[in-house]
Amino acid sequence: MLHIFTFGAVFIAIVSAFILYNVNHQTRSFASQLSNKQKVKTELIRRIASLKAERAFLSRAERIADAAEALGMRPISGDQFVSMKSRTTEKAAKKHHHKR
Amino acid sequence: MNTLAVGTKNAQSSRVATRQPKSQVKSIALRVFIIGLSITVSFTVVAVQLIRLAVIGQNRQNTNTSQTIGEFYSRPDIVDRHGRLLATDIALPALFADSHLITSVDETIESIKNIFPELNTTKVRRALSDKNRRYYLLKRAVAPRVAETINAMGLPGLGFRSEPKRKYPNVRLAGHLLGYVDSYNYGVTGVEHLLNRNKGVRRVDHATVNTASPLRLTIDVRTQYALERELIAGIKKFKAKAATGVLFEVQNGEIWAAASLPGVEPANINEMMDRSRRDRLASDAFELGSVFRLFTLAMVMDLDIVTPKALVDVTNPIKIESFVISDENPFAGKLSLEQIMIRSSNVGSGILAEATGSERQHSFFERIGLTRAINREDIKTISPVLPKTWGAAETVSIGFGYGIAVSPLQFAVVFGSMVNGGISIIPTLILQPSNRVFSKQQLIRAKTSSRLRDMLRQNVLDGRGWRANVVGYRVGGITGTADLANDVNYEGNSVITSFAATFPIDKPRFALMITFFDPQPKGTKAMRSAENTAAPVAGEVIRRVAPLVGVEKRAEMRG
Repeated sequence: MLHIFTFGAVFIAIVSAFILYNVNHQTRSFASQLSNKQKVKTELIRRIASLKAERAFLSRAERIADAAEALGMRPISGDQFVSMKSRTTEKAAKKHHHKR
Repeated sequence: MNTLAVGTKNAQSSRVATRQPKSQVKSIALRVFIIGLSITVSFTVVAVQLIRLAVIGQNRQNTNTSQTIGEFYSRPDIVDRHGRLLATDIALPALFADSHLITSVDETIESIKNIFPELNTTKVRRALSDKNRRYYLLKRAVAPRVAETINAMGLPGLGFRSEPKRKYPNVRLAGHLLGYVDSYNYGVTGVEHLLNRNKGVRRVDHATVNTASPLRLTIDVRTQYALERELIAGIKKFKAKAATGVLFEVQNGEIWAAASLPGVEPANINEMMDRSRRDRLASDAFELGSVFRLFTLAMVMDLDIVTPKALVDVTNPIKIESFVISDENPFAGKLSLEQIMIRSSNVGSGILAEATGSERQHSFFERIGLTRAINREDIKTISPVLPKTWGAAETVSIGFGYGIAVSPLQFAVVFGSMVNGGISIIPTLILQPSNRVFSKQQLIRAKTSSRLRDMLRQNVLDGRGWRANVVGYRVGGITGTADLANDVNYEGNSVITSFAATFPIDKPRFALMITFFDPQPKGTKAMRSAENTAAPVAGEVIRRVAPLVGVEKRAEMRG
């Protein structure tokens, strides 16, 4: 009886050693995957940063202004804005007129 | 020990075995089987793992050896008030050599020389020949494409490590304000210097993208560009040496645009060090001339030296000590305070200053902030140059802006506090999350400020500031043309022309100060006066930036 127990224990020990080994192995593989992903992520963040800088460089006012002027565009002027206040008073005046 | 016992028992032949019961023999066989099995399994596992390792290989070890080589600063971005990028960190490869691994020094040098012809060959050869030198920096900030080329050459002993590099996507825009960083990415001047104390700045050993929230400035890129563009156009048109301009809110001191031209590119250290490109806006002091008569008028009204309706006889030039002060266009008769402003009368300003006296003038200038430099964390100006002795002659000349030198920025700030209701302004470049709260001091009475505004408006409608008038924005302003002082004597031939403006005049939101240095336009001498140089450019700037800064255009009967 004791023997069976001993054999059982040895067997369980061996099996759990296997499982443990496997888990350990998996963990390591996950860790390496993670570090790879992190590397990719850092690289991507770095690229995003340089792309952002590049975009800002390409859309700098100096460059856009030259391009816009070549297309016949002009800087915005105050005449292109309409005051909301004056619009509403105009509308109110019209309404008033209708009522009459 | 069990195994050993079994082994010896087996070795002692069947004589022993026959003595044992059958069941016991069976149990021994089972044990042998189990033990044999476990040994086989263990060895198989070991064998399989060995094969796996041999085939797949071990995880590569990553060790960081760069810690001791150099330390960099990773810096947060700098953005404008609307979040547009002004400065950012990017990673660029730096080329280094490990002499120990280099097989042929000549071949290596020759190959690199083809790519970087500016390399100092003798120095590099000495470094690479020393086999103990494991790290020699050949070239910083190599373009990624060039780095690829070098990699493709497959030269042993050459390697790359990524270093942070500060980039300014707008090139020269607001260059003086931004300042620059050293090769370790540490801020040296301007906003970059201020940023060193930001909690987002970290010490790193290789390029790391900084994820800290960016530093937000009060600058607006579009407004800044419009200002710089108009100043550059002005420099070209008037053949001026330089120009400065600043636009800020008179209530909270937020600077929307500030420029000193010719500008500098922060990434270009030679430009940053070039004296002809120095920051004239804040780091240099000038005698600004008759723009100062605004302060004289403010002084006599606020200190009740004369009544607002007073008339000043400007027929005769002032004679004081050995100087004679006269007007360019003399006027025989009496002028009101407003007319002194409009006619830009030096004699009138001088008489008013004389009536005030040196002591009261000094203390008034001290009160409004003209005697001490602006020394804020984000904005610093050069100290004003005051007369050594503040006597009677100095009092008169200071009355129309000679004998006292201030930076254009400091003048603009004090000008702003004269027109905003008389409240002190603390200029700032750092955008605060909500409305900035700062201790406001009443520098002059609100009533005086309002009178000054009326005069400034009249000066634009009927006086020398007429060319700065922009219909709909109700501009008020004052001109000043002064001899540009050399180090020792007046150059005599060069002038500095300024226009200080505020708009909309009935409730000022912005102040603008435009200054040209040594304009030499075609035509008569009068063409180079502030009336014809600084004032029209100020008008152009206001026309362009008013829609950008949110000042509404209003229908006006006149101007």
